[in-house]
Amino acid sequence: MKSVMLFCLLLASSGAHAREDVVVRAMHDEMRRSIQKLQLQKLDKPYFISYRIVDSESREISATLGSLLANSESRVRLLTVNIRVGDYSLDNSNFLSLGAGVSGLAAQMFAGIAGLPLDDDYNELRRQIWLATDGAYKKALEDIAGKRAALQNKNREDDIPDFSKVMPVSNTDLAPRAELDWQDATRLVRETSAVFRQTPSIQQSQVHFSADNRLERYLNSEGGTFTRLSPRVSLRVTASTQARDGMPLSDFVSAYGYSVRDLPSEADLLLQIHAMVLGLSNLQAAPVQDRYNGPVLFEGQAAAEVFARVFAEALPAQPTLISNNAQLEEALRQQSSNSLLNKLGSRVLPEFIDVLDDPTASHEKGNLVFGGYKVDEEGVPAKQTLVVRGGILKTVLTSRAPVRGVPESTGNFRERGVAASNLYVNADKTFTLGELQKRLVDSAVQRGNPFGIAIRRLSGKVATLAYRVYPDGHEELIRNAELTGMTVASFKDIVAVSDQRSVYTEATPQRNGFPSSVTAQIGAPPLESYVVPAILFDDVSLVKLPGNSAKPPFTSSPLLDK
Amino acid sequence: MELRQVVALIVLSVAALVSRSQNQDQTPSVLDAAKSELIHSLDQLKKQEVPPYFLSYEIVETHSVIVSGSFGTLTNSSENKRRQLHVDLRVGDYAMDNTRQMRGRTSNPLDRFSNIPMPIEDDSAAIRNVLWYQTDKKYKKALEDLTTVRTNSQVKVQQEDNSADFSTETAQQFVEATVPLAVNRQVWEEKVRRYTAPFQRFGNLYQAVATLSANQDTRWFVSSDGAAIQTSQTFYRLYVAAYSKADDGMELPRFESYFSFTPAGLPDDATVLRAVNKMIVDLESLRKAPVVDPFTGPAILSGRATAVFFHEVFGHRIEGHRQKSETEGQTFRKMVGEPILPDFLSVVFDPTLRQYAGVDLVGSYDYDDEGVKARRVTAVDDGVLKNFLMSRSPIDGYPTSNGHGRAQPGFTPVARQSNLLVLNTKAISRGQLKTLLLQEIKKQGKSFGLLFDEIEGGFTLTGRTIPNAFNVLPVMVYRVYSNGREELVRGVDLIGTPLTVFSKILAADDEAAVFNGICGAESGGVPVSSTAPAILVSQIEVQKKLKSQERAPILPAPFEDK
Repeated sequence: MKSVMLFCLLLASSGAHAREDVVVRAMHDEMRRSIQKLQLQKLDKPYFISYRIVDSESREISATLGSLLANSESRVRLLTVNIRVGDYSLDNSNFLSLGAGVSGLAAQMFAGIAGLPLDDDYNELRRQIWLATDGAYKKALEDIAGKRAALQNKNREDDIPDFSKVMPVSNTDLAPRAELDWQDATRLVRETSAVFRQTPSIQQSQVHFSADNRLERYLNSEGGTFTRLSPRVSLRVTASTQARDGMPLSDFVSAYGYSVRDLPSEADLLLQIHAMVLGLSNLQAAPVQDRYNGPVLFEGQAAAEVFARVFAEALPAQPTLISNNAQLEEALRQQSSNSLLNKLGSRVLPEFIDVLDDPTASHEKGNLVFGGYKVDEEGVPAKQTLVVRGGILKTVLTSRAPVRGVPESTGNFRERGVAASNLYVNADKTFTLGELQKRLVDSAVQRGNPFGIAIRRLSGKVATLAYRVYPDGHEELIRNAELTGMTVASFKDIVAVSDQRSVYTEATPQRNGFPSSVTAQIGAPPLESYVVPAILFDDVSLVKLPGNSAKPPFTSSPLLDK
Repeated sequence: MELRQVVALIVLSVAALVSRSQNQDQTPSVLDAAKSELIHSLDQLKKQEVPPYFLSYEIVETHSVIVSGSFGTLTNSSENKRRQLHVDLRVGDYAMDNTRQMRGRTSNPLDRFSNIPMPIEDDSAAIRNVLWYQTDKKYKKALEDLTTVRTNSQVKVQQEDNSADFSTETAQQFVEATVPLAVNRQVWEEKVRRYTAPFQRFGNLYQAVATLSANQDTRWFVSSDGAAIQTSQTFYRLYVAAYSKADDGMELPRFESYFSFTPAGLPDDATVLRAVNKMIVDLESLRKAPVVDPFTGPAILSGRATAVFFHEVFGHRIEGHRQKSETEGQTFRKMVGEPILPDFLSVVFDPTLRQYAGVDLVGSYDYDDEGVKARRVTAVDDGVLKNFLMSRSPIDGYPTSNGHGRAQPGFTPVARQSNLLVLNTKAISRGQLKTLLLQEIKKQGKSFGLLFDEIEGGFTLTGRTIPNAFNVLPVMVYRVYSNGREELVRGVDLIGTPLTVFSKILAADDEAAVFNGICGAESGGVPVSSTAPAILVSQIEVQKKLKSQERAPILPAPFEDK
């Protein structure tokens, strides 16, 4: 009784605020009608509804060798509906029905997403919201019936609710729009791509620029709301070629910002591109490293990449999907056993390291970090989460879908899945990079290796810039060695880290295997930033990149044909 | 910054500036750039052990504007320009080359399609660099494929068809000016709102969209034969679609579409609004119409229904490559010189015809996607099968192309339809056709016959492992009683097998109805048209349409809920 009254009160107060914005008003009015009246015969009524409307205005420019490849803009408005039937302890969420086959799977992934009119027409917005709500409700009914049936003959192993409760908040986060001089951006893309006209050793190159202003409006039936404008600008330069034996070599330069002003200057970009080209041409002649087992020092971007890909990827936790297909459920269970959830309370890093997820941060020593936000996509206020303290895993990152041991949301539901925001690796015992390099070599020599290995750039598992470091201090470049056997457990044996840290940003990586949430990702993936020191590992395995590569081109580059 | 880096930076910037000013002095065309690279690559590849015997490049630019509206509001307004490349490189010789389809193996659909973006500006170095890189890649794949083809032909049974893999054709040179798009986007945005506004007041219509699109299609083709062709065409299209639902859940669609080569060829607002009103009336009638059970009996197919019918039943079965493939049904292959239709019907394919009965025909073109000049092909003359549609892939008895090698940009061309025309030498009026229908109903002792008026489109299956059926999807179907009364019905699909239905055509009227559409098959979507009179068939078979299991929305439309 009490909760019903509180709920009505919250809706009423958000109503007054909503009247100013046609879109929000349409969301609000349709939600109120649906909560009050939407019910099919005597089946479950919805106990929770949320609407999220995203207006995305984006522009993309790309070029190669000074000539445009694409130059387009788009404007789209999308609605995402989430309806829950049942109650907080058991609802329709987290269920995958395999009965319908591939098309059913596609239907599941895109369920609850609808295109909306670009015009702020109250009646038409409400019509589309109505139809999307109706479809999502019917699917919710089917899902809860399937889920109840699937659980009927099993003992439910976890007595954890499907949906945690939060205090609803209202939030507004309107960063200034990324205004662009379209001419400027086009000129920048052309000129940076034109640099490669002078580098015939590079087979293919591209510069890609995109700018996106996203306006999100969110409303749920508990009274939580937020309006957020997130501008984003990104630039990426890619170059690829082959070594003399055909091994593919590629590298990239990327930059992000909230406006064009945040991007590096053209002069700075040209320098970075020049360094990349020099690096690639050195790699063409560099030797291949046969198997290596020994200490490895990850510096700069490589440290951030190995931390992001191997360790940080295991931090987001979502409950295992329940399915009406036993084989699938088993496969999903196997996959989720790779996450760090089972290590709560266990030591996962050396004692001198803490890891902090901080969505409230916006800068780190003069560099921007891009993973921040004020509320997550479920309307949960952002907060710092100390994930690892003194090497011990204190918590994983969660959404409002609780997992064993973490009943509350840490506020990390981003763009349809749990993800980190800005991750900081903080150490209370550090060394200079020079000291680490010395330790690397000393420890290698102790093991009988003539050299240690320092990796400065890493792409997935491939070390695109790695060096043999000798006791006399000289270094030899090696080509595309591949990391093998590195797991979350490897991070327990970190020997030491540096005092200086680098800031590295990338789009949330595509998670391998089954989608962690059964819904498609629409639009650009969110960004995560990592603030990571150089890391010395005691024992890492590197192997030669497997596979046969195509021979280099039989014909000479036309760039030489002048 | 190191001196070395500064110098490098200056050198790079100056070089970039210099190359840009060079570009402004000379403006090489796309054809010139493609020709240069073709010569450059071929000259060098000639020195290889297995040199190519043929090389061609097709570059297609698609500049499109798409504006969509729904229920009186704007949902999309975008413009896009892209260029795509298709490389045809052959090793071996005309008799046996790397493109031969291998028997006993399902061909990989990805081999037929390549997504190679090309610069959208006419810069020689940028264009040549992509062509060079892709030519080398294609060459390596061609060598691999040739080895497999040679082995496959030795291991498998002797082929039925021993024609060559590639025909010899006269190289063409032709350049026509590019035709610019003439679209006022704001005017179009108003139109899509206006065309869909009449649907607004209906809460039982679940979709009502209008899309205006303009496409400029410019193609460049060069070959080692000496071909050099530039063609340019614009297409304008208006498409209006809406659907409702019957009380039993069946979805009831209704479409209208218009194609033309110029914006002036699209219907004016008054015409469109009249069509929209008819759609609204039809949809309401369809909701109340009775369902028809599976039925066999006489029927009239309107001109448009017949046009689609011939496209599916006949057109796809005389595409040349199907006569050679051992997995295809090859329905008509051995019937050249035999009557397959009544003697008053002829079927002609004419890509050189741009208009018929005052309507633009979108299947027209001057040169096909293999650089062969388009020409009229008489497939059936007075009922007798004469010819197949041919690309440069010969079949027994047909060693040359007749200009029907077509593809969507990026796909490998195969023989496709152009503008199909069903010509009738014994034309009677529609009234007389209906009289004949009534006579046939009585003769067969049926209580009614059918009239197929509007159709959605169709599909056909020509493989050997599945029943060789076709399916034309009717939208407006009427029961015709023996007293002449017509009653709208719903829930029918028209099915049958080609040879039986052809033998049952009794008469045709004096209509010439044009159906313009996009036909999708192995080489992607290509614009085609089909023109035909209404026909009377003595025996047609219908089956029940797949019915949606989704109920109508639970709540009434918001504006109807008081």
